[in-house]
Amino acid sequence: MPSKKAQLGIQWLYWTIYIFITAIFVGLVRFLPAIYFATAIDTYNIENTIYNERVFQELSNIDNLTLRHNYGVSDLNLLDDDRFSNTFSNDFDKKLAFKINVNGKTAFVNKNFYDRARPLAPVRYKLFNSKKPIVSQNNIVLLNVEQVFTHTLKPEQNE
Amino acid sequence: MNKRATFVDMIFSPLFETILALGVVLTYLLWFISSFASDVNFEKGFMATDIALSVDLMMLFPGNIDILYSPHISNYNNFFSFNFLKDKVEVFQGNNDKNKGIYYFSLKRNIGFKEKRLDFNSTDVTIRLSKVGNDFFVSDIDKELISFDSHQISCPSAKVNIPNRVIIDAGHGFNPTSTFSDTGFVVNNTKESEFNRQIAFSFFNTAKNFFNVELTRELEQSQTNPDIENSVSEQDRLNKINSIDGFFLSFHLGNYNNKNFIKAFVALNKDFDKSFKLACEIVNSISLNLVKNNISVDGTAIIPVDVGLNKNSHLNVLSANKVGALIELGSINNPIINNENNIIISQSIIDGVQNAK
Repeated sequence: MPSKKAQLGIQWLYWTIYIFITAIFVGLVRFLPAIYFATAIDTYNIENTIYNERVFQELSNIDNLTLRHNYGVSDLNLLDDDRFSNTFSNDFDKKLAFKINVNGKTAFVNKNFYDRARPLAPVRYKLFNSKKPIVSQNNIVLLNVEQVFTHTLKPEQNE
Repeated sequence: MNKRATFVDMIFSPLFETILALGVVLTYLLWFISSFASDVNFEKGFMATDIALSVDLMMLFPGNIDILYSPHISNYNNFFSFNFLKDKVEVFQGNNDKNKGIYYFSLKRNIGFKEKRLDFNSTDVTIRLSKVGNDFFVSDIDKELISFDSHQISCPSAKVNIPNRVIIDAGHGFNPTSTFSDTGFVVNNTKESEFNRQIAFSFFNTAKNFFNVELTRELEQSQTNPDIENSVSEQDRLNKINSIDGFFLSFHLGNYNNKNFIKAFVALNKDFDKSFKLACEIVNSISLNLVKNNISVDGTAIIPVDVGLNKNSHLNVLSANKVGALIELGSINNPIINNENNIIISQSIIDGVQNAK
């Protein structure tokens, strides 16, 4: 039979391990739901979809006679950076940029940020790609929009 | 082994410990989930995100859109304030709230917006988000019932180069003593030409403070016989417009029963884009200010006219080969032209021209 001193040591060891494992378990319970909820309320996907749709919309031809937007119909000869000059406000601090590519023609929104951020994605920045068939000069072509944006919701200072 | 020892063994048995630990942990988990779901900070963040994404989505639509946002939760007792800044919405409780719910949105660059703060002392709130024409408005419908002019047209954003001289053309013109007469529409002895003259004269007096002004016909009413107007043929008016460097505005009335439309006719010529922008801004400005002054407007329109195919003589003025528009101000059956409204309309036209330039 172990001595009283040895018995006390075993009990200390038992409780130390017991409390340690319990602390880990409680910690997991505390933080796992938070991570789960944060993922569940992450709005990146819908937000980026809306932004890409705004780019698509900007590309659509407008009938000057009827003011009707011919969604999905675009004259790609007019595809250039200036076309998107009104798509997003100057005051928008959130960092995001777009590369619009179709049939070898390319235009950019916020090209400076795109050039800087694209090589660092998807580690430093996030990427969101979408494709959409559009009609241009009676041909159906595939339009690619690549969006690069910051991880954080808050605007990154000193970018 | 005594009974006490058996009881202690049972207390510390692994099975009992496991059940106890799981019970504690599950209780904590349920408490945490419950507190998370009703957490004020979570709610502020959720509302900020929800509103900001709604604003982003509204920018997607090319036309006018009006959304009533009611984040009312029946079992929720917190009052929030909403601060709409140029690129974000903040949701908070009191000015010293350190944990504001913040989310970012992006208006289109050509959309006008004034920052706005809304404070509520009730959970039952309704925030109105409106994109009308080239403006975005935020309001609390319980405090301010803003009458939006839903007929605003989304004008092209690019400014256009317009001369600083306006040629004012009062449509039609009637002289009962001459063989030539053109009254325009006549309803119950009310002549369109007289209304056109009145609004043109009012605009002349306002416009001369902003532009060089020319007239296609005299607008002063005869003091001896107010019924007699100086009458000038359409061709003479057209010749005068063509002879002067500037843009022209021709004033007319429509003929509808109990309806007031503000319309502009624009010629499909080399200056179409400039004329369209000019007409669009003028029509929007007139319509907006009439509605603000509780004058009903039933619709607006910019109507392109191919002058070569035109069979309406009063539109002949559009064959002038320069920037300009024929503005139709309401109806002869329900005229909005009077001394008070003329001032509103004249200033609106000035604002419209300034917005186009």
